[in-house]
Amino acid sequence: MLMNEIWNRRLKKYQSMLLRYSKYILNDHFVLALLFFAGGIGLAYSNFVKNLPQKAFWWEQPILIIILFLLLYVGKLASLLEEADKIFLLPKDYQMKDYLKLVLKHSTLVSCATQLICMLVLAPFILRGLHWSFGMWGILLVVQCLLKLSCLILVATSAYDTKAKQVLQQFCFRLTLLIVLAVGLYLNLILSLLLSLILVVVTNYFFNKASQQHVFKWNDVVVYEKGRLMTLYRFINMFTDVPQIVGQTKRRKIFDFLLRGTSGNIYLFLYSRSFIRQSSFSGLFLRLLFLASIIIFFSPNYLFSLLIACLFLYLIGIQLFGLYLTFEDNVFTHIYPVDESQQSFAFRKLLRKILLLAWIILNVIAVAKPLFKVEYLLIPVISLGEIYLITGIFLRNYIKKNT
Amino acid sequence: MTLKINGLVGGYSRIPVLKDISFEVNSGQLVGLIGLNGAGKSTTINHIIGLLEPQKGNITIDDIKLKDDPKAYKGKLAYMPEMPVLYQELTLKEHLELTIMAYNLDRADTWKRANELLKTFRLDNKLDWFPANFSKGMRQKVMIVCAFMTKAQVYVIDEPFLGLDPLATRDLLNLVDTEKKRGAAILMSTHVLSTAQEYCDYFVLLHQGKIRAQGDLEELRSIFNDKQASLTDIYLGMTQDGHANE
Repeated sequence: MLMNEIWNRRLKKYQSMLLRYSKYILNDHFVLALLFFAGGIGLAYSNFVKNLPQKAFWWEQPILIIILFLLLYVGKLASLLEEADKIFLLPKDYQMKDYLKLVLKHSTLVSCATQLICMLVLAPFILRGLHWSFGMWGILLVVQCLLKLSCLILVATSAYDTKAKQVLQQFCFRLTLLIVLAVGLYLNLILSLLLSLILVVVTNYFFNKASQQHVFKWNDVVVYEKGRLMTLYRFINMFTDVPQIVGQTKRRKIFDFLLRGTSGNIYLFLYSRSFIRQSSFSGLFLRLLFLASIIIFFSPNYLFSLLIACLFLYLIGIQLFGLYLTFEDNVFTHIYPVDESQQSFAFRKLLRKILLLAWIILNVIAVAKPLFKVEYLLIPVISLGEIYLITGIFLRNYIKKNT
Repeated sequence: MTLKINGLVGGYSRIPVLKDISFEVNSGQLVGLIGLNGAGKSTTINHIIGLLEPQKGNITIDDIKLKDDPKAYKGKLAYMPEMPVLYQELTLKEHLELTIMAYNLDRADTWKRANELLKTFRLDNKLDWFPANFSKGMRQKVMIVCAFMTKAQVYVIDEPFLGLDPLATRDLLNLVDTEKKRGAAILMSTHVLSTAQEYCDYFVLLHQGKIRAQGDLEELRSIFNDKQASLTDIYLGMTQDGHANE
């Protein structure tokens, strides 16, 4: 009973956390960008499917097998166990199997939903390209879910037997997955269904056996869960501040040359070091810049490039506003005999430099790629104006609101 | 160089924690601020360093109020917090550089002094490390170095002994003594009463936001009517007295 309670409470907490952050992720600008993106890709995809011939190309099945295989690696086992559980749940060691079953059930449901969505996206290709019936598509979906389930059971088994995780990464196991998929696509779908069912039974047998023979590996499970959460947080951190991300600092000595000339103003001294050495800020900057560069590189016209450049400069600027408050709770910044106006001055200076760097990179890609057409010159002009808007009015309002 | 607290009423909210606090810390004097948890020591210190604004009364350093000239007021003051406060992303060396910049200190002179302090507290080989990852005691030593390299006129030291090894405790007390002789005014809050009795020149006993008694040891002994009493006896007597009054 107790394990049930713990799991339910954890799940509730976890889901409300996801809900809270999803509000930040699905903010207006992102949804807009996403719509553009999905619209563009969707159009290209539907054109591609329409132009597929009556008789399937030889490469259609292999491509599908590879996509389905890669999809099996989407979604992890969410145990929701925390560091402190090592101590507080230790007396419940013998009940952890019940807990893991609940974990498995939940993760399987979530994974099946993911597989369903991906299969829906693939459906036009499967139905039109391979000329499958809807029923066959349904069986393939079930095969895919069963294969995913066996992967998840293996991860759960690794909570007892560390060898299980190695199996998951072993060539043999991967080959088995590929063979089951290939059987389904080339030979017989029902046979493939049968094989995937056997795989689930076998992995389940190992899970039960391992749970009887070995102790619960608290450290491994907590490390795995931490890694999973960090990936999640890092993604969310592109849109909003995640407290768990802060605190990772690295020395990054090679960038020390960038810090020369920051000794005139203590805030410039602090902010520039914080930006370079705290992964949360520099990482965010690099991820957004990278994403924007790729989208602009593949952009079909100058209006789209302009939109993306402005959108991402805005996102970078707004997200970096958080850096301004980093030192608010450090008592010494309040005690130093220094003019308060230095703070906003220094921050504006640094933010402007960072945004100008992004501006240069994005515009070189945007303007150089179409070989310097006149209308593309609109992009640097407008986005430069935007930078001064962000570091001017927007920043002033932010500071006023938050201090 | 005098720190004067005059009729201070204050706290975190409208309801004051401190009720009419007055005392002085004079040049060349080490004053011990003594009180139970929650007596108002930290609140008093937060008022002095300017994190809180007095509701009534005032605080001056050399007759300057924080409001009138924040730069001059803060420039005379060095603070050492109870829990070490460090910048996550700054190396030890950069912490010292930052302090030099913030207080506008002479670079060559201060570095000379800082190097001596670093050597005393055995930090001289850790200049390129992030002190945020140090142990509590070592972080506390960084705080000591940062505070004492400023050669401030007024020091405010909040419970400095917890987490320090005996060697560092001795070195800190020596340092305090030298600064005192140089003419600095030092206010130190602490629970380590035996050390306080031995080193402080003057005591301010806080209880429930009020000053129960202040004076040097002889004066306190005569207030509590016990010529042989140690500071611990007086302190415990005072708190028990306080309980009886509640």
